[in-house]
Amino acid sequence: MKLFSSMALVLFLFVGMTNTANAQADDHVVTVEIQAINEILIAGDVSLTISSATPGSDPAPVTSGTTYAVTTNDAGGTTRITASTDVNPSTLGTGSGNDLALSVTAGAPTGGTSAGAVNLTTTAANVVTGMAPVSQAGVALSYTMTATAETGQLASTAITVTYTIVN
Amino acid sequence: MRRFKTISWLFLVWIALFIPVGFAQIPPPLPGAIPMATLSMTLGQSVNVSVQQINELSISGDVHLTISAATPGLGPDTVSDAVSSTYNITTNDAAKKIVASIDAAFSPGISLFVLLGQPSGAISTQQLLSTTSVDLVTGIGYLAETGLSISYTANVSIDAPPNGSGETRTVTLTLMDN
Repeated sequence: MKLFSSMALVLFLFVGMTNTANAQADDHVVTVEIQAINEILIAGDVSLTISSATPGSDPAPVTSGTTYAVTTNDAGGTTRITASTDVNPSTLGTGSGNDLALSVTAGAPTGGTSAGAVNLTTTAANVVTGMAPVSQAGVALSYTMTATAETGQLASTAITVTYTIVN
Repeated sequence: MRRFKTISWLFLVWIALFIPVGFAQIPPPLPGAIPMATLSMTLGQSVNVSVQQINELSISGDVHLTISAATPGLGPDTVSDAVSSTYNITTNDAAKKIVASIDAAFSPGISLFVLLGQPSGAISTQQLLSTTSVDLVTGIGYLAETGLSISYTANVSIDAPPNGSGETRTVTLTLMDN
């Protein structure tokens, strides 16, 4: 009986060793970190030229547009897009009117809200608010320039408009 | 007469017993054997050898994938790392495979793929990791190789929010029967 027990123990240990050898494993850790992502890209430049007026009225406003693409993964509900210019359009023009105006209407990406037509100045203003996490391209961006007779004339002048995603 | 008969019988018995010994063939000595002066002796020794089944797999290095950019209008960029971690493998058996799993699922919107460097003669496939084991390499047999690559690719959807220092999961690779 004692011999049988000993043999059984040896067999058990042998089987155990065999099973251990059949599969072998190791591990390590993998971390996936997601940082805040806020990206915006304007599709192209825009040219606006005022060149006509109805007699007796101020020059006719002109409108031109482009699109923008945006990606944000912020889910706080406070993400917005602001816009500002490097120069105040109202200061441009040969006349004394100081009333040249450049406005923009930014379409809202899914989940956001457009601020409608916003007059552009050197002070940043919201053009889209309440954005949700989104990645969307081809969102409309429409510029309108207005001038009066008192604005006078303006040679071709580049105005840089800066868009910023703010959380 | 009876005595003579007895002696004759004994003589015949003696011949039957001892004469054949004189003609018995003695086996030639083993090569290198030392001839003995008077007696020939054969010594046998039994040497038991065995090689047990060996399956060893080890991983070196941890991995940190950081997703921090996107092409505007598209989802966050995919991030890959194929240099931070490697694995070594030894098996003296046929028909083995490596499977992988993670200890817990990632948050929604995060996908982690892994592709193992292909050992000689085996087939590697990129797989999405989950808590259920998936085959990464099949057809492994009789090899010992080191420094095989482990390539991770993380994909996140736009709905996956920033997660501070990141989500850490333990990836387990297991070498097992096919």
